[in-house]
Amino acid sequence: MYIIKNAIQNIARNKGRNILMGIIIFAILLTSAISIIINITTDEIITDYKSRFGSEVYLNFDSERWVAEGKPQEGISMPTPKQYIAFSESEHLQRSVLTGYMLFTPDGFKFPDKGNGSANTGGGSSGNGGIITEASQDMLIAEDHVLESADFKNGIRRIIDGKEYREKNECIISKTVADLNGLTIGDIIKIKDITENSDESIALKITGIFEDYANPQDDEFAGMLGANKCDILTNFDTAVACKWFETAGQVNAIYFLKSPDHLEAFQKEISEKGLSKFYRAATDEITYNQIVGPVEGLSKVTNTFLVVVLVLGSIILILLSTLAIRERKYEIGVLRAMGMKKGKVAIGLMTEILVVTIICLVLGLGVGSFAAQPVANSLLEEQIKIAEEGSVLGGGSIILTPMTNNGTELETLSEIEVRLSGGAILQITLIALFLTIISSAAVIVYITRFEPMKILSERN
Amino acid sequence: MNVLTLENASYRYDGTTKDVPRNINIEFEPGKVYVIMGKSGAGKSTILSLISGLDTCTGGSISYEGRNLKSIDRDNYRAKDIGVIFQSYNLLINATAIENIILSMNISGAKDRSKKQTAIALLNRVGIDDETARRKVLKLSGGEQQRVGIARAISHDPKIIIADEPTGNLDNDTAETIMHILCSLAHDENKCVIIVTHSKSIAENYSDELWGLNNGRLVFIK
Repeated sequence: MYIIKNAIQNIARNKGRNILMGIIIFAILLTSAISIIINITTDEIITDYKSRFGSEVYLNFDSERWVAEGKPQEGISMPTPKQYIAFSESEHLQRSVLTGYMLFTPDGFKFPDKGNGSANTGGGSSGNGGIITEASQDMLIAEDHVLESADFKNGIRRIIDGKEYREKNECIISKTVADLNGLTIGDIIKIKDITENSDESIALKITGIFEDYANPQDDEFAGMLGANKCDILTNFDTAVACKWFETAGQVNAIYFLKSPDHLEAFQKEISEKGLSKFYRAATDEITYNQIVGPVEGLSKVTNTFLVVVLVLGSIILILLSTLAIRERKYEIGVLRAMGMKKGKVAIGLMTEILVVTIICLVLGLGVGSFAAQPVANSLLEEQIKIAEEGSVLGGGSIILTPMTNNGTELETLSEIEVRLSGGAILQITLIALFLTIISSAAVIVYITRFEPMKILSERN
Repeated sequence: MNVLTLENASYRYDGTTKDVPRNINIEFEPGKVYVIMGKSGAGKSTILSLISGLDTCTGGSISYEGRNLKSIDRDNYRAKDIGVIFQSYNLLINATAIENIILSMNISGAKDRSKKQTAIALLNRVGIDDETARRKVLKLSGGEQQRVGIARAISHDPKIIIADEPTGNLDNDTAETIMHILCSLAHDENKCVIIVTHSKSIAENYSDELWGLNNGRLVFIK
């Protein structure tokens, strides 16, 4: 106990040396704290985005490979609906979102003529959910959990009567179709195979009626593509169960891997299940880099900064403590001559450094937690500038605003909120301990090498 | 009964071929003042280093209460059984006189509950007043530092007190006071006091046994 008490008294007795040591340790811990606080936040962001972008997989046509192999005509057709469904059963997937598109002919009910306003006994148009489009042949688009689709989420559509379909052969229809045909909740409608002379048909029970608030003039893409908003929505299984789905249906799939690490295994599995070699499972790297690139740059800068500070700081501390030990030779000699054991002398000197380090640690964490945010903002701003300059110099390509699968815009990360977490405190404390050990190393080596008389005689 | 015995004790410095001192035979008893005289370089301080356990002899042996110093814990021996008064004081200069004494008591493992009071009493005994006792050693005169050194040497109540040129840096009056203190420790408190000096007056006036060191050999004088 007296060793610790004496060590603390010694700090006050040797103010000059300890203040100098403290300033260096504080500087190292402060810069480490700022770097680590920023790093942990950026790592969390990167991990989050990586898991989101790295897990979300599409089947893309590999045009480079196709061109490289001489543009063969074989194997370039899209995977079949059956294949899409088979791929979705992979054990590497956490879940998959399948959307079905199927042509049909309405049977015994009519659609509004969207071209001239008159009624038409045709189908519906595309959108999320099971949909019957208007045309000579209408299109059914089927998707589970329709209320989670962009139109319903964004308030463009809203169920005004009844509820979402839950079971097979249930559907929801637009208010326009309901009013035109006098349909209400619980009524049954029938849709038929588009093939001539085919008797195939299915009956759909209406569970809900929705209102569409979209202004058709705002829907530029719908106009461009000649598509219309769907008026009948049903679930995926209903569409797939139709016998004519194989010939008149298509599937669009987004697969969500259990983790990005499963990508290779998933690719292998779907290749074995018959996916053409010109298609590959791919993540959205461009969007990922566009959004997370500056944050990754920031992380690299702070990591490099941390390593440089630690290396240089450690060297300075070793030099300083070596010089300090020369100054303290006499003191060590006196203590040893008085009979203090080597270990206790070392503990005393280490305690001094430890107390100085703890004070610096508290100050470093306090100042660091406040300073990290402006430093992060400044560095991130710099990274965004660099990224923007890079994209302009790289050919001035048009940068489209990245979108998520449900159509929500994703913005490049222009600011991050850094905070002092438990993990950061632990890491900085470990660095502080490392600095204590580094600073004490010279002391311990010196004490174990020399006998008191030698130390005193050298001093004298 | 002998408290300390040197049998053919010799010491050879690294890189030399001659033992200095060599074949030292002497027995120290409690209650006496031993003075060892000799010229500079005769090996006086080396003998004190060996006796105080700061170094070990390269030939022969030194025994404390029958136990060879080489085989006992010499840190413990220095902390508890022996008090050393160094020629150059060897005090902690940034600490106060009181702190120096308390630290010595702590190292020896003294159980005294009022160490500060004991330290002040010890310092008073060697002529250091309370105010001086609270000053940093760095700010004390040579004589005051020597007194603090003596107080420290006796702070843990050792059986042997060794003094290396204890009056070398002091004026005559202070030197006389210091020597009276050392004699008192031997005669009144039954300590074994070993003084190394080149001062004839000290040797003649204060020794119970006087030994001379000549060419590395120890010779009994009176």
